[in-house]
Amino acid sequence: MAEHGRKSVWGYVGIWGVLVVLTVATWLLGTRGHLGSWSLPVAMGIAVGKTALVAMFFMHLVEQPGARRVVFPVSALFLALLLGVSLVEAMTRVRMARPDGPKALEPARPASTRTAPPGSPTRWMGH
Amino acid sequence: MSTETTPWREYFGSRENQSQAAQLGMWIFLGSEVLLFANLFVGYAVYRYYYPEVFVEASHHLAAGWAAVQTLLLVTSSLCVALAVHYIRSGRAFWMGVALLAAMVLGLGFLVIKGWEYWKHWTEGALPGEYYRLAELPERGGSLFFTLYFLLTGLHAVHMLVGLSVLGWLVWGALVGRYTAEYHVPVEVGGLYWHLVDVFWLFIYPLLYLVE
Repeated sequence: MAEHGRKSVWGYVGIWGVLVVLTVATWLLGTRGHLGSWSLPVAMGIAVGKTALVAMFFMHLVEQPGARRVVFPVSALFLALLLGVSLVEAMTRVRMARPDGPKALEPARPASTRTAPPGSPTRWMGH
Repeated sequence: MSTETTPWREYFGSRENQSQAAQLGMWIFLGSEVLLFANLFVGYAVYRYYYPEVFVEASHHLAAGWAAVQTLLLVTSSLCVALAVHYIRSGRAFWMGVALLAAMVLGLGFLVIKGWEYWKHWTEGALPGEYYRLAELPERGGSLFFTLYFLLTGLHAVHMLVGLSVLGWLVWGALVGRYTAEYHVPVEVGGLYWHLVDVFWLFIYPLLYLVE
């Protein structure tokens, strides 16, 4: 393991520089970007990219053999399954079973904050 | 080093095996942590689908600029921890301790900002569940957003506290000369934990603070 020791610290500082740029980009796009329906995919894409950088270089996955490289992607896969299946279930429920239900069951709240009906072309998470 | 205090265990067969077993164990633990946070992320996704407009408005109640500063603090602390591992791999225990102390200071800065945010939410009534009394936002959806906000950031803050304790313990180990270029398994696996806490924040930040 000692052969790692004399490597330069500049590789790590370079990765850190990229992470800082991506963090500022996330903030600018999120507060000034007005990306609409693209804001969530873009923000998540940047977060996944930053995670890959941290995992590969700061957590040294890039130099790891075999089983240790597999655990993290597998947990991400199970996260995606849980998230995906839960969302598909929520998105395909009949309207009666939804929390925002029919009018009579709906408590008074401003129209601007009312959930768009399912199937609306503009309806996507957060938009 | 006498035989009683050696960190190496015969039953692993070799030092390389012991190091690999420790790291694999830590990765499996980190995988279970991902699944712990996954439940909150799934709850967030489902309720954001049900109340998209309320989530956008509620998100504007949070200080996105300060959260960006928090992200920068965590990312920089992650760099310090990576440098600490880099230093101890070549036996420079002093610089490892310095790097870990810097990471701890940055982590504490993060928690100070978080505490200030919590105090602000307390004063304006943006609290979880039945304690929610923010008039500007509808209770349905708004209360859920802040419940998820406190659960996600609270669970993250608890992990930060655990991570800070781990880093403090590692600094202590560096002071008493426990780690060398040959033996530094705790530094490697303790560092992994801190990086994972950083990774969780990379997702919590855009999901809670930058909803559009």
